[in-house]
Amino acid sequence: MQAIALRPKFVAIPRRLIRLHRPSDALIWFWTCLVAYLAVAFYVTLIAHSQGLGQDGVSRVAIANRILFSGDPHLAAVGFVWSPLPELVLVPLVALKSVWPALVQDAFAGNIVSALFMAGAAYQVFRFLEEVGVPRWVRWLLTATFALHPMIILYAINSMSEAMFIFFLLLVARHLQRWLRTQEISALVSTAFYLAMLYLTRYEATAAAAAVVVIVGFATFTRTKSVARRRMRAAVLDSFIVVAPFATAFVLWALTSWLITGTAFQQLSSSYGNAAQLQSRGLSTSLTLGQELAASSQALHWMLALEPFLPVVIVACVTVIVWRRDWIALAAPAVLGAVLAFMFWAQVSGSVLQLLRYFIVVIPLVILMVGVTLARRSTAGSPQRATSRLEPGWRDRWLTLLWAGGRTVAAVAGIVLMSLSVQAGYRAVMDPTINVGYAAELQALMQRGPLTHAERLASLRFVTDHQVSQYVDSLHLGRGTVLVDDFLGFDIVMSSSNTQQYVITSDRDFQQVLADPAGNGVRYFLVPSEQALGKLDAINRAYPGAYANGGGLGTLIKQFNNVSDDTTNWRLYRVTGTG
Amino acid sequence: MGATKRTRAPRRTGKKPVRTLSPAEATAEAVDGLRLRHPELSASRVLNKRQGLVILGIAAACILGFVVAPIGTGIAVSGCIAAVYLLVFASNVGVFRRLIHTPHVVSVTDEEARAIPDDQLPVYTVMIAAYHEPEVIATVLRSLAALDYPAHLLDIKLLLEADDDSTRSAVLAAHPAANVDVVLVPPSHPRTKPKALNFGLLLARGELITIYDAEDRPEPLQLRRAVVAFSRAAPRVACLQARLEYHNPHQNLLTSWFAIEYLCWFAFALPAIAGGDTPVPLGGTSMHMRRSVLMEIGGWDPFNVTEDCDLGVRLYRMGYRTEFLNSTTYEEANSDPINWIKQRSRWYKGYAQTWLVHMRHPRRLWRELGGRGFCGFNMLVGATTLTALLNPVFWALTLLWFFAHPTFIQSIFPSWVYFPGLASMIAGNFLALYVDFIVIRTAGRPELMKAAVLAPLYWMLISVGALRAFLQLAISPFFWEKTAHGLDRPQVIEAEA
Repeated sequence: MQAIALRPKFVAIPRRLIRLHRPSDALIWFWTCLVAYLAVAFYVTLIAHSQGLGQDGVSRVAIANRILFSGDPHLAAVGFVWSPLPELVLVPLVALKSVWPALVQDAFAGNIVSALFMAGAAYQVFRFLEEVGVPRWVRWLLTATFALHPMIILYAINSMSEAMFIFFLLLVARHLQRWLRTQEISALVSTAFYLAMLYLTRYEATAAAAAVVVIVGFATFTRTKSVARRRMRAAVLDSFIVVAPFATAFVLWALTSWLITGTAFQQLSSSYGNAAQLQSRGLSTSLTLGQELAASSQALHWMLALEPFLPVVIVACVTVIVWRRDWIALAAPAVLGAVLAFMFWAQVSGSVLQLLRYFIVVIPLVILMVGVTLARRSTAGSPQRATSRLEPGWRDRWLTLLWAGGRTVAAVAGIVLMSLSVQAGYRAVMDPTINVGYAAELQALMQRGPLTHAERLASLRFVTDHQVSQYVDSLHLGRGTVLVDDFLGFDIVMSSSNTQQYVITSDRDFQQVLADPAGNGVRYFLVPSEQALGKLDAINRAYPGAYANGGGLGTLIKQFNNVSDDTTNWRLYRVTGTG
Repeated sequence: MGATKRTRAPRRTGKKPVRTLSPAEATAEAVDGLRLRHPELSASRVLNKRQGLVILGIAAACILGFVVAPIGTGIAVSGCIAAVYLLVFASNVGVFRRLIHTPHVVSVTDEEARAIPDDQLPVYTVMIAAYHEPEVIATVLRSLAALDYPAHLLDIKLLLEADDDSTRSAVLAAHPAANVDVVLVPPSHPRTKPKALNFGLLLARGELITIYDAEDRPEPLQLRRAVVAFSRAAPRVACLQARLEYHNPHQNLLTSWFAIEYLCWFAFALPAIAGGDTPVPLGGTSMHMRRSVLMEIGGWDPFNVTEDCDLGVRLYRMGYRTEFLNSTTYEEANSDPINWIKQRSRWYKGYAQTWLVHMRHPRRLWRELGGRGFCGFNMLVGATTLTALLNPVFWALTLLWFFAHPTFIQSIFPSWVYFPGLASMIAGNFLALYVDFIVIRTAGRPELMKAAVLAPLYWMLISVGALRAFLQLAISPFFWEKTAHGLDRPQVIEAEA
């Protein structure tokens, strides 16, 4: 940071008056990305009104909304199936909804948060490249290939938690590398802390934690010069330090979940969790070998669709590392690689849905590996010496030129490959066979001309929910008079102007009200159709046939057919026995 | 030694007292000197009139409140306490961050320490106060003999009580060197270590002064390092605290815990706060001071049972500063639980005394210490004792809540008190435990890991000590419970970086 004089030298302005410090390159990247992502998100969400872009992000804003504004506002409404941090971060923004209703109505709060964190991720990528010692022009261009990658742009603007995850993952990788290089305890503590944050963002952090623990333990064991017992103790101590905040977050979250809901690991066992969702869609969680092989090849295909030069980069990176014997440089890619490997295994074993976004980590992974390959010095810090220090003869000069030239060629090659990946990424994101369930929506967005039928349907997601919400609002009902499970009905509740009229799943008396709606003041209830995820709806489960004929609970008032490609229809029933 | 601000005229004899005092006059000066000259800074009265009124007022308000509006008063009390805990946690986080990033240590290398020629060294007074310690007194005499400092410039004062025959005979049996003065302090109330130190201070000749306990083993170059450090430091730096470590950390679980605690304090917390505005509570030994400054600020407070903490705060109030010297003195860790609790009660009683004394005029304290120093003082001295006392109460409430859900807890902990309180409890306890591990790691002592894992049990012991301290504060504030020494077995520490 240097102070720059704004006027030419002949007009002497005292430096104290003009304190303009030029911000660092990384900060420039952060602010530029933030502004750009926010602008695109603004256009897409508020001008083009493409709400379907948000997907799970909208439900996160709904959760933040229900923490503050539901009929029973309480912190435990954050829900225990998914990690809490993405929702908690949204709470301060959602609190401002009276100032700017679009924050909740259009779920723009989510877009703001994802843009913020993805800009932060770009900052982290730049800083990583800086710390590794990549030349400045290469740093700029490589960070551009990260920030401009269509998958990254998409997840910067769509309010989902991938941005936060990548941000914290990069922080973990950076600080781990700093610890391996400098042995400063502050680096180890930072790694530990960000690992805990990562867990609270997404559960996949467990894979990263395992990788970090192994790396730290191994590094300390090999570095301590002592008897085996002491080395073991030192390694255990360091591993403990790096994993303690993560373990505490893990245990406390499970404990809180158990105390409040009775189950410790809702992600696995809840009726809304992964396994249940897969089952409801008719997907088995245990696959045959043939299915697994098919899933593996599809997963690989998708990864390469996002980053086609992954194998090339891996080979180059490993070669350079082995040649330099710079094993520290392996750490950051290893951590990201562990997460990627975990997601690969999860897809292949059928534990999660088959979605492209589970492989997003491949993009920063490749950029980091390219950065490591092009680093001017090894991460151990000592500059590379291509020639001897003695009098440079013509041969030495030629060698130096060759080295410099070679490095430049490699850098140019890396940047070209990454730019080509950007283009490949665009194709991948727009391809409905790769970006399953999402590409149609995006194509609808990008089209200038007439839309295909599929695209038009995709662009109308959440419109039905708004219709339902407006209708119910027009009935001018009182507090706690409409029963709905907000697992699928979250947007109905969120976009309502009277959220307190709904009794939702996170209310502490929901089960009681569900058992006896009429006796608890409920006059209406909303049910989704019993296909796919609708089967998991609480009302459908408690009263079989609730959608078809009221389940003995009520009479049909109105049906809302879904106008988009989502097959969930909604029905509004009046509870029998109430006015 | 290069150009330094202080003159380097050789001083073979230090200042002599202006006139010779008789034993009676010396006793009177030692006991009442501070009390008469700075009555507001003396712990001879635990509370001054205004504090007494304030405490009575708060007590009355609480009682009235509980009678008239129990829920409201309950919420107010729990809210205030939650706020205190939150503040403590926030300040601990601040200290923690400074801890791991920028410790503030004054280091003097061995070569620099040995480089000063003998004729440029000042007279150094070393005072050792001992009471009923015949077993260990020989240890300190040996350690003093091992000090790398010219014997004729060492002014060693061995302060014994006049009626302590056992120690006196042990000293004579150990054949002390010629530079050791055995000073017999006439018995008088209060019978405390600082009174004895004040007595010794009147007879001291050295330009620099330091204190050691009877079982201490300072490293040989410590005095030289102090001389070098003082010559480099600003005149404002009046005190250098060296690091205290235990030579028997593996004797049993209690000594391991104690060793970890000392590591936390001396290897970490002290370097973090030294060099700032927060007054540094001194350790009981190995604080090297300029004697002129010590005389100026009134010596030790004989009525305060942790005279070192009080001295540290008074130093800062008078505008001086303490730095941390990178030199180690080995002490014996208390290995017997009962003995340990007595020692800990004395420490917390003294902390409470110190806090009450210096908070007599809060505005004046704020002016003298500055805002940050004031807050740091309250966190370090006040909150430590208070939270140690309150911890078991709130742990009990927490367990009661999670297992029995009684309604009265729900009513006095509305969510705006409950969540911050719960958060600071979880985060605060985690941080306290985590710091133990980091300290062990940085000090290169992974073998203490097992004790660190069991640290919460140690915290319970600390709370017992705090409870006892408060009881003693009310009943017998100047009672100095003697810590028994010599319970250790010889151990070898394997400390590697």
